[in-house]
Amino acid sequence: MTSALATVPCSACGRALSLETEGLAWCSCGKASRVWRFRPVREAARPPAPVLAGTPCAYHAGNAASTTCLRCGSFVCNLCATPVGGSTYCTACFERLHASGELRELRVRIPRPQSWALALSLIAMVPYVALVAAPIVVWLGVRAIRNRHETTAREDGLFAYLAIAGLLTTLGLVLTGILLFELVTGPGGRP
Amino acid sequence: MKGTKVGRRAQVNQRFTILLFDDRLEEVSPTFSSLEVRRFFFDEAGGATVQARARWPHVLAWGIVTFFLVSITWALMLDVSSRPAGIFFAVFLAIALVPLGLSIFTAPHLMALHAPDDRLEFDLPRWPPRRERAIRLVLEAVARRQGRPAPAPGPTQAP
Repeated sequence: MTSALATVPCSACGRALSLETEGLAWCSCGKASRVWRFRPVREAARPPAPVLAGTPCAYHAGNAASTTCLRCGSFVCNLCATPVGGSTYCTACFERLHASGELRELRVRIPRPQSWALALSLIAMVPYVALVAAPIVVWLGVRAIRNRHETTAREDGLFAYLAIAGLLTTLGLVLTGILLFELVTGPGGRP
Repeated sequence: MKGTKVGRRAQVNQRFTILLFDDRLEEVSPTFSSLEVRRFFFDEAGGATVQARARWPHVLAWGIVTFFLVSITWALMLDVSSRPAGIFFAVFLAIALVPLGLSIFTAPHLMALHAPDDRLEFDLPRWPPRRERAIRLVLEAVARRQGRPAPAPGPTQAP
């Protein structure tokens, strides 16, 4: 695996640049690069998983189990064991968790309900629309707050979004309230 | 845990922020409805390179901006009705010259992390102390993940 990385392409011209030595490497295009070489964690270097005293794998009866699935507890061999973020699952559980989006390590799309809340709060400024939009804005806001650990780790401004959305929705509700009050009591508060 | 911003990358119509977490780098691209995240784990990272990029495109761009600002100010000075043109001249020139100077003295640097079947490239911060800090943080994270002491930061600048 390391031999595959004996050279890397030069970022300027694409020619092979040696990774054999650390420090400054000069490419034939005249560009210099600072180079660091790492030692990848290879499967071979890891300690072998303990064999569970002749227990067969739940999916491959001919293979000895090396570990258990964290979710369902079934014995699995090295072929079936799927390591994800420090935990090991069997193939079936991995597929199930992956499909349901429960594996945080594999999530690649983090929703931003705060954007929808802000957009909807702008629409809520239209009279009477706030009556429908406000509960949805609140629901989106709650979702955004529940999901805040995912978003605030990656971007700022979540609470600014929510504050503006809340302010606009409140404004829309107040406006709608005034219009409804005038509708019920007549202009100038006289029925 | 909050990710530390170590760089950025831009495509034609998409901008990516590179965030460093304990055991991985994340390439985050915000869209209206979601954050698109691509993760790069250090387990298989075999090496890293940092290379200075050409600085002339930025210098040229800021040179053109400076030229236009100076031209506008010169035109203002020719107009007798605009007396405080000298102040305009000084302010416009300062506004234009600061980025021009920065683009001359701080070259953009490209960091690339190489794995056998993956590669992540991103622009490091332009300001040298921030750039060195970003490199140090990435090297420390790789070393932590791969269980060995962090490599020396090496020469501070690629010529």
